[in-house]
Amino acid sequence: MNDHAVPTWEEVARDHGRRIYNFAYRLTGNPDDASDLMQEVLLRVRRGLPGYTPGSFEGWLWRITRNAFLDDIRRKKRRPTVALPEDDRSTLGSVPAPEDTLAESRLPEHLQQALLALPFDFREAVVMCDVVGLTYDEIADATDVPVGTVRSRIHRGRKMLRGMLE
Amino acid sequence: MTHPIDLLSAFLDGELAPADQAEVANHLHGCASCAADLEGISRVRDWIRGMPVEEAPIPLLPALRQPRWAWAAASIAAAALAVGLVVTPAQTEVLDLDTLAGQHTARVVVSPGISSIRGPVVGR
Amino acid sequence: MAKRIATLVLSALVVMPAAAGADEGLAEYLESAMDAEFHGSGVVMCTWGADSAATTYEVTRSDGMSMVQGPDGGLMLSGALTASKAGADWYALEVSEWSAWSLSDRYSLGDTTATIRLGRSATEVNVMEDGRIRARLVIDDESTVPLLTEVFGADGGVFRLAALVEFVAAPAVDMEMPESFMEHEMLMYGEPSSLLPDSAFGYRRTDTYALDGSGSQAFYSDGLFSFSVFEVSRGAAPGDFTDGSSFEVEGATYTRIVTASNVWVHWRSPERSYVLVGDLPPDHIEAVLSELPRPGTRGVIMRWLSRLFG
Repeated sequence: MNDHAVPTWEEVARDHGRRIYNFAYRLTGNPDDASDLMQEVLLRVRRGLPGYTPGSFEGWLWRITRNAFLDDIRRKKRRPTVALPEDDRSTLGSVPAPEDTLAESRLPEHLQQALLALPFDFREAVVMCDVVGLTYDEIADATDVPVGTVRSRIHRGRKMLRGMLE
Repeated sequence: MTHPIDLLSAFLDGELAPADQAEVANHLHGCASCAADLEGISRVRDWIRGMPVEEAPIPLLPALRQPRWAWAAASIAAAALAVGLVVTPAQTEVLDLDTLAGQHTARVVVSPGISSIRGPVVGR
Repeated sequence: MAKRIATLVLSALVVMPAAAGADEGLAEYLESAMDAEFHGSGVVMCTWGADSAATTYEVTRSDGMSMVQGPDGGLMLSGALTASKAGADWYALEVSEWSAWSLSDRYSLGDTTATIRLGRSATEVNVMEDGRIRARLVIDDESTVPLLTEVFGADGGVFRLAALVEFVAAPAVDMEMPESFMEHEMLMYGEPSSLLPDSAFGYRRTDTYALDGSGSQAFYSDGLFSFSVFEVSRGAAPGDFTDGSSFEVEGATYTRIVTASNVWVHWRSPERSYVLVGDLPPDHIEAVLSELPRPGTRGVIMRWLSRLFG
């Protein structure tokens, strides 16, 4: 999307809805939370578009997404943000055949669990970078921290993932 | 240059200034441990990037409606119970000192101070 | 790093005489010591009047993570996430936001002396508060980790002592966070209580977090010591203070429990029920309490109204 044009709401929904959903899904590990969040973000985008001044659209959109996510957590206060999928317990309990061990550690469920175990700031930075595909500058803009902080959060997040998955 | 450990992810993502990018590349040629680190980080990055794109279970251009927060909360509570998770009750009128100790400790350890420099102590 | 603390301490002494504004040398030391990598085991002990408690603990800090073990369980820390273990399961509690740290200008560095502790070269440092010794640290020169921490009360007696008995600098350990948590909760900002002051005896209220239900946790810090004040409805049950002992501040009665790492104080004001927990010394606690809502009972009419309307 051209950074300097103001998109319509339909364009945002069409072009970014799936990315917002995936961002939310990887952050929460939960389809219900993810679709609620996507709807909330689209509502906020619609409310906010008239006041949007052309600039970094990605930064603007992902700041809205992130704030919607944090507001959700705030509203739910200290309700758990992580619930293990029901079938995880059996997966974890089974012993993989030796030749499956390496492949096992890359299963999406394992990756998702590892993501959920990261501290929030790291999880958010890794998901914005590797799932959403934002640049470090865009992540800095969306999360309101210096780009050096983004760099170290992404790196430390990946290192922790590596520790859990290898 | 000393090991550019904190720069490896940014290097991998092409997010360094050209001069730094070249300097890290140069270092990697002669440093097996950093090269191995880079390889590990790169593998993790590939895995995360290769995670499937989750399809939203509803059309992407929904007829807008109020989010189903309450419904979602209830369903998650039910799912949590199903796998034996403890769901914090909404109303706590008993101050459980262990919980308060946990909340206090969690905040203490993010800032410097006499308790955080020596390491916190478990329990109350 | 080897001589860094000694240099920090000495330069601070040369540049600024004691008690001349927030002490940069001390502030810089406190910040750097937080990240120092080490493995150690030790004992921590706390004494207030006739109440005393002690425990052993084991800490490993490496690669931005800490692991703490004690007789009551274990903790893992990484960034703002604290994971605690209950049985085989891990529970995570994460602080979402917090204010920048700053050190009160009442503290300054006093005398420093070179010494040997646990067979290692170390620097003994006094932390002064308005000209009196408030704490004594024996700092490992190589790692900047405090091998011994003593905090003194107003009478000069040791209020809290934390001493490492085993120590390894920069241990080669691989620490891993648990792969999943049974619960992952976040401590979110809440509305600051209008009944609590923004500062009390030089402690700033830096953050307020929401509690389940309708209460709040106000976090106060002067940069060296810190405490939380939990404010809940007056009728809330105050946990287990049945073994606590009573003490008085300016004629008002409070209940306290002394544990190895904290002091707990409970009281009820006419409006709310309070629990204060922190690592600050007794004379500070007493001064702070005199600036917080005071213990008291509600008038007959208020009690009658609350019985009517809950």
